[in-house]
Amino acid sequence: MDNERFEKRMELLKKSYERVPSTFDPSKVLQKLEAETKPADMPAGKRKKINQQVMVWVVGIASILIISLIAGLYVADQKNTDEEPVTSDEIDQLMEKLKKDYEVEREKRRVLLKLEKQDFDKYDSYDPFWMVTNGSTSSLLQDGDPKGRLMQFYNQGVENLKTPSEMVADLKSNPLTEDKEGSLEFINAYREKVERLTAIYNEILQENNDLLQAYEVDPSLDKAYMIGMSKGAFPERLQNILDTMKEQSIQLQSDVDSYGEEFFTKYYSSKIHEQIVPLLNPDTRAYIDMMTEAPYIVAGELVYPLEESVEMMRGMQHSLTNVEDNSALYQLLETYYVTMFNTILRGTEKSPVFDEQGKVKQEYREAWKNMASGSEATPLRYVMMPIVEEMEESGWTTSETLNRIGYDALKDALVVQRAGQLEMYMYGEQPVFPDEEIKVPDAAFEQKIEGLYSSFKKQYDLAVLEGRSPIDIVALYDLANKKNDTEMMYHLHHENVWKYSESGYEMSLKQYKASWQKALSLLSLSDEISFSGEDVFRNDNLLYGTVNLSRQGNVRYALNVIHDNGIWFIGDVTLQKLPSYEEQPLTEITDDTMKNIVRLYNQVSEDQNGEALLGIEPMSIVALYYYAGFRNDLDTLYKLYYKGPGSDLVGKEEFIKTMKPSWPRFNELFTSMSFKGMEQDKEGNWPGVATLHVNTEQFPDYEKTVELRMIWTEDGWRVKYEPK
Amino acid sequence: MDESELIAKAQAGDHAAYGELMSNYYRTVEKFAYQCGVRLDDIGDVTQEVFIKLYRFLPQFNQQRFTTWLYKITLNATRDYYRKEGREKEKREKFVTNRFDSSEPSAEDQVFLFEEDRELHEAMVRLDEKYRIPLILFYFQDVSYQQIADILNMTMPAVKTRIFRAKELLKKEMISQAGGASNGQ
Repeated sequence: MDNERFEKRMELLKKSYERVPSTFDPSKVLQKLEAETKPADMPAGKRKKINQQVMVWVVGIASILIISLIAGLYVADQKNTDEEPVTSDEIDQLMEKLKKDYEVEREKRRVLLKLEKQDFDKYDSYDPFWMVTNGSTSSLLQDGDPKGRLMQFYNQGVENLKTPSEMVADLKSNPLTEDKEGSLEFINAYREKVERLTAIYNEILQENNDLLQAYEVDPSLDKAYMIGMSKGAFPERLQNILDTMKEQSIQLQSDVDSYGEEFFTKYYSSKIHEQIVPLLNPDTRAYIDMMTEAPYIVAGELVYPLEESVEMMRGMQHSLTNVEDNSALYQLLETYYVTMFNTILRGTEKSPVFDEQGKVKQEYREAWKNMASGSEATPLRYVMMPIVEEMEESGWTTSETLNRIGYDALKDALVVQRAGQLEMYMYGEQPVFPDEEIKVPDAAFEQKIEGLYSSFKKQYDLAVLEGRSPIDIVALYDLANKKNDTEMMYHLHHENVWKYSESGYEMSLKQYKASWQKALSLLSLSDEISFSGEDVFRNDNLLYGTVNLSRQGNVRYALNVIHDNGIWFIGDVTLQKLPSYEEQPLTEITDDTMKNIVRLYNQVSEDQNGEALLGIEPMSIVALYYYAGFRNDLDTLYKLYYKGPGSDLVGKEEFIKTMKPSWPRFNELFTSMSFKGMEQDKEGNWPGVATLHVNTEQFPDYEKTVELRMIWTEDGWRVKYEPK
Repeated sequence: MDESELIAKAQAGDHAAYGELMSNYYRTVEKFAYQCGVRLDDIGDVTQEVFIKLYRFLPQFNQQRFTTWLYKITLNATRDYYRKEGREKEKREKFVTNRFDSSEPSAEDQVFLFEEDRELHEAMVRLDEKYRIPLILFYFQDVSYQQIADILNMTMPAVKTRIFRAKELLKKEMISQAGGASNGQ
C-alpha cells in the first residue's frame, strides 16, 4: 500500500473518531471525589478458588534484607562532626534519645495498624540498635562519624517500620518511573511488608476461626466480603484488623474445600495499588502485577483465561528480559513464567490441548500463534515458532519440536536472551553496518553511481547490488528518478513493497509505471547523505534502516531501506512529487475543517522553529493564512508568505505596520476551495493556485471566487505576497 | 481562565475549576480510550476513572505539560481495563442478553460510516501496544514526537522507529484483509 493511500485512510479514520459518542458527566466525577471514602464495590458472582499458597518470608531475615536494601535510599544526615572526638557519654545520650524516638515511631504504626502489642512485635521484630546494644559501642566510637552512624541505624529502623500505605505515600512524593533499580527495591520492600502483615492477620483469623465460621450471612452473598464490611461484630483484636487491612490493600478472602470454608487475607488490586503502578518504572510492571495476579495456576489449572494468561506471560517476559536482577523475586517471576508456558503448551486436565479428532483446539492454536507472533527475537517466539510452523503444516495434528521439547526450554531461551545471543540463534549473525556520510554534490560519487546505474540497467541482476551501501542504493534510486527510469526504480524496491500493495494484488511493473509520478531529486535538495549502522533494527528476518538526506544540518528526508540477504533495497517511501503534480479537488469548508485549522493554528503560532508547518498541504496553508488574518495574527501571517528568490515581501517590521487584515472568519467567507500546482516557471520556482469560492450570500460585494497564488518551497507551500 | 490557573485552583481543591478542566479534556480522553481499544459501552466508565485518578495525582503535577499527564493516566486506565475486561468477559457472556435487534444499528455504526474505517480501526487495535500507542498519539491525537517520547518514557528516535514499524504492520494487515493474492502478472 503506498504511503499516500495509507495517510488518506488514516485521515478518514481520524474523522470517524469525531463521532465517538459521549456520555461523560463531570458532576458524577465530582460526586465520587467527594465520597472518596466510599467502600469498595461488592464483587459480583462467586469468587474464584484461590489457594493460599503464599511464599512466606522469614520475617527476621527479611527485615535485615530490607534494611540492607533501603540503606542506600535513606542515608543518615551526616552531621558535621566536631573536630573533637565524640565521647562515650554523648553516644549513650544520643542512643537513649533515639530509642525513645523510635518507640514513639513504633507506637504510631501500632496505632495505625490497630494491632495489639504482641501482634505488632511480629511486624517489627527488628532492633535497629542491636549492634550497639550488643556491646559494640567501642567500635562505634572508632567509626569516623558515630553520631551519623547512629542516625543511620535509627532511620533504617523507621523505614522498616513504615507500613505499605506509608511507602505508597513516599512513592507519590518521589516517583521511580525512571529508576529500574529503585523500582525493584521498592517492590521487594513493599511486598515483604505486605507479607509480614498478612502472616499476622492470618494468625489472628485462625485463632478466631470458630467465630468467623459462625457468622451468619445470606448464602447468596460473599461471606468474606460481608465479614470485611462488618462493624463491631467481632472481638476487638479481630475487628481492628478487619477495619484496617484495606488501608494496606489487603482484604479478607475465603476458600471452600471439603473441610469447609477457610478464611485468609490477601493483597488485592485496590485503589492504593492502582496508584503505585504508574509511579514505578514500566519495565518492572510484571513484578508489581504479580502481587495481585499470582498465583496464576491452581491445582494444575490456569486461573485466568488462555488469552489473558498469554498476555500476562508476555508482560513477565518483558520484565524478565529488561530488568537486571538476581533476587528471589526474579526467581519467582521466572518460575511463574515457565510454569504458565508449560501449562499452555501441554494443556490441563480440564482443558486438554487436543480435541477428539486429535487436532489442536482453536483456543490453543490462537494462544500458541500469539506466543509465536511479533517481529523481535524473544524466548517465546524462539520456542514457539517452529512448533506453530510444524503444526500448521500438519493441519494442527503434530509437531516434532513439541514432542522433543523439554520443560526448561523457555528458561534456557531466556538465559540466552539475557546473554544477548538470542537474535543470533534465531537469525544468524547480524552484519555490522558502518556509519556513512557523504557531502553532496560530489563528482566522484556521482560518477560511481552512474557506473552502477549502467551495470544494473543491463539485466537488473541483483548480484550487481550485493555489498553496496544503502547510500549507493538511495543515490541510484534518485538517479533513476531523474532519468525517468521507472523500471529501475521498480527493481530497486524490496519485493515486500509490491507484495503488500494497496490493491491486495502484487503490484506489477506495468501498474507501477502507469501510476508513477516523477519526484523532485532528493540529492539536489540536500548537501549531505548519511546512514547510521547503529540504528538498524530487525523486523523478523529483515533488517531495516534509514538513509537521511540533510540540508544545513537538518534532516529533510529519511528514506527507509531494507536489508535482505546481503542487499539493500528501497523500502516503502514517498518521494516529494513534482509540485506541478500537486492537486487538491474542490472541497467543502465545514465546521470540521475549522476545528482542524484552529488546532493547526495553535501549533503553528506556538512553534518557534517552523517545524509545525513542515509537510502541510497547500489548502491547509491557505486556510491557516485566512484564519491568521481573521485573528489579526501578523506574526503567523508573515510566516506563511514565500520569502525566496523573486519575492516582493517587505521586511517584517514594515509588514506589521502596514498590514491590517481584519478578514472575516474563514468558513464564513468561503464555502469551498481547490488547489492546482503548475509547471516550473522561468525563475525556477514551482507556482500553484488556490481557488476559493466565496459565500456570496453573506458577502454579496465580493467576487465569486478568489485566487491565491502560492509558491512551493522545500519547507512546504507558501503564499505569494502580492500587495494590492 | 487559562489552563495553568485552572490547574492551580484545582490543586487547591476548587472543584469548579476541576470541572472546567474536565470539560476541556473529556473528549480527548474518550477518543483516545476508544482508539486504544476500549469498547464504546465502557468509554464512560473509563473516562470517569481517568479523571478520578487525575485528581488524585494533581498534587504531584508540576511544570509538566498537562496533556502529557493526561495521556499517561488514560493509557494506564486502558491497560487496567484490558486486564479486567478479559476476566469479566466470561461473566458478561453468561449474564448479558442480546439487547440488539439485528435490524437496529449498533453504536459502532454511528462511528464508522464505512466498513473499511471499522476494519482499519480493528486492525489498529490488534497491533501490539508498543506499536499501537505511538501510532495513535501521532496520527489521531496530533502529538509531537517529543511529547510522545515524554508520555511513553522513550527516546524520540525510538518513537519514530515504532511509528514506522506500526505503519508497516498496519499496511500489511490492511492488505491481507483486502485479499493478498498475487494476480500472477
